[in-house]
Amino acid sequence: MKKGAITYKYIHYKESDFLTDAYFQEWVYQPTAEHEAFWQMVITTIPQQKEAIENARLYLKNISFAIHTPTDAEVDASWEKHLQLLQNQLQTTAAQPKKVHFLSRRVFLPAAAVIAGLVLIGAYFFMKRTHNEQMMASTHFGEIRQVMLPDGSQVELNANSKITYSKNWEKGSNREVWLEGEALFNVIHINKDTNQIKAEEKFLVHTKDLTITVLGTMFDVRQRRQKTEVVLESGKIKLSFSNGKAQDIIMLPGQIVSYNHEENKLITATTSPEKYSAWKNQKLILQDPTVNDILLYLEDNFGKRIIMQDPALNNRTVSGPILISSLDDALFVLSTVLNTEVVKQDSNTIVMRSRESK
Amino acid sequence: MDNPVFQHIMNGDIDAYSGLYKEYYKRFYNYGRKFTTNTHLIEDSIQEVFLDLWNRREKLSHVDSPNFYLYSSFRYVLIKKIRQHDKMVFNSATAEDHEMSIENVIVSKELNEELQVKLQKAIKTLTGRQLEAIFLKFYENLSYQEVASILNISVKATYKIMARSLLALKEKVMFLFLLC
Repeated sequence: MKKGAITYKYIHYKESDFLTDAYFQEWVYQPTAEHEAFWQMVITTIPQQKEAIENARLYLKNISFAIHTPTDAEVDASWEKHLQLLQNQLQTTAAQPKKVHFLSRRVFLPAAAVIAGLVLIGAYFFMKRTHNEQMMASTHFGEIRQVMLPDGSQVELNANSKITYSKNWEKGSNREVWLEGEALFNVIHINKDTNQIKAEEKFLVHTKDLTITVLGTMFDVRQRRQKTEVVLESGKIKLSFSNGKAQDIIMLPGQIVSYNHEENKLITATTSPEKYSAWKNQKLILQDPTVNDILLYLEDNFGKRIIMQDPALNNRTVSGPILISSLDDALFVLSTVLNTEVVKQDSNTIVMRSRESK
Repeated sequence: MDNPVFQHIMNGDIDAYSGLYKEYYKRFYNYGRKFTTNTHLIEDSIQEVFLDLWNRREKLSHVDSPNFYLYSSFRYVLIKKIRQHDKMVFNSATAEDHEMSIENVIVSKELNEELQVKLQKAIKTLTGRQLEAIFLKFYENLSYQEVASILNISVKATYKIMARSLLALKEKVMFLFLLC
C-alpha cells in the first residue's frame, strides 16, 4: 500500500475502527513479519495515530470470550438422544412405503379390503369357526369415520381404532363386532319382547377384556392401553368379562364402567354420557381430566409422543372442552391454559415446556 | 476434504460420527451460549444439524470444509430457532437482530483500571457481528472468507460500512468548522 493510500485509509480511524479492522486483528492475534512491517509503516506515516493503534492493540490482547462448557454427562446424554432420534427415523422411513399407499387410499382401498378379507378368511378357516367373510374398518391417527354394520347399526369409529365383523349377519346367529380402540355404537333395536331374546337379536361387542351384550342402544366403548371404559347413553347393555372372575354387569343409561386389565380394577360410576361421545363432534370432554389423561388420549388418537416437561403439571385437572379437530389445535388450547409452549422435538415427539423455564 | 473424520462418516462409521458429534457439541454449546442462555434451543439446533448431516452423509463429497459447513448450518438453525421461540413466547423484549451479546466479552484483570474502563467503552462500540467475526476468526479458526459468508457480509459490504463512517466523520468535522 502506498503511503498516500495508508494516510487516506487510516488517518480518520478511531480506536474502535482499528479494533474491527480484519488486517489489524490479524496483526494482533496471528502476527507475521509482513504484518509487523506494514503496521510499523502505518505508525511512522501517521504518527498521530500511534496512540490509537497501541490502545486498540492492547484492547484486543486483553479481551477474551466467556467459555461455556457442557459437562461430560450432558455431552453423553445428547449423544444418546441423537442415537435415539436416528433410530426413530429409521423406523419411520421403514414405515414410509405404507404411507404412500394410504395417500392414494381411494385406489388401494378395495384391494386392501380384499387382502385383509383373505387373510382373515384364512385365519378363520384355520380355526374352523365360520365360513363368513370378515370385514374390517379402521382409522388412522387423527381420523374419525362412520361405519354402517350389516344390520344398519351405526358405528362412529374414533382415531387409531379398528372393528372387525362378519360381512353377512345370518339369521339365528349373534351380531358380533370386535373392537380395538374407541367407538360409539348406535345399535338398531330388533328385539320386541325383552323377556324372550332370540340369538339374532343380540348384539355383541368384544374388546380384549370384556364383551358387551346389547339389545338396542347407544353406548361408547373406549379400550385403550390397559383400560376399557363403557359408557351407556340409552337402552340397556350387559357386560361380561373375559377373565371370568368379575360378575356380569347390567348397565343403566348414564353409567360408566371402567375396567383396568393390569390392575384388575373395576369401577362403576355415573357420568354424563354426552361427555364421552363428545369426540364425534371433535371435542374432548373427559370427566374432570388431569393433564396426564388428556395427553394420553391425544397420544392414543394422534400417534405422537407427548412429553410434559414439568411433571407437576400432569396432575392438574382441566375443565372445559378441548377442541381436538387437530393435534395442533388441542395442544394450542392446552398450552394456553397451562402457560407452556409446544416444541416439536422431532417428527414423533412433542415437548410441552413451561414458559418460565429457561 | 479437510477432515478425515468426515470421510469415515460418509462411509457410515458410527464411532467416527460419535467423536465428531461430541467434539462439535462442546464447540457449538460454547458458541450458541453467546447468543442465548436457553440451552434447549442450542441442544435442539445441534440435534437438527447432525440429523441432517447424517441423512446426507452420502452426498457430502462436495463439502470442501466440513468445519465451515457445520458452523454455518448450526448458526442458521440456531438463529431460526431463537426467532421462532421469541415469536412463540411473545418475547418482544429481545432485539430484532439476534446477535452475539457483548456480555460474553471478558476484559483481562491485568490491565490497569483506567485502561479497563476505556476498554469497556471501546467494546460497547462494537456490534455483535463484529464481535462474532473476531470469535469465529481467532477463536474458532475459520477463514475470513468463511466468516464473511457465515455472517452473510461480503467484503464489499464492510467496505461500504467503512466508507459511510468516514463520510459521517467528515460531516462532523465540517460542522465543527462552522461552529468555529
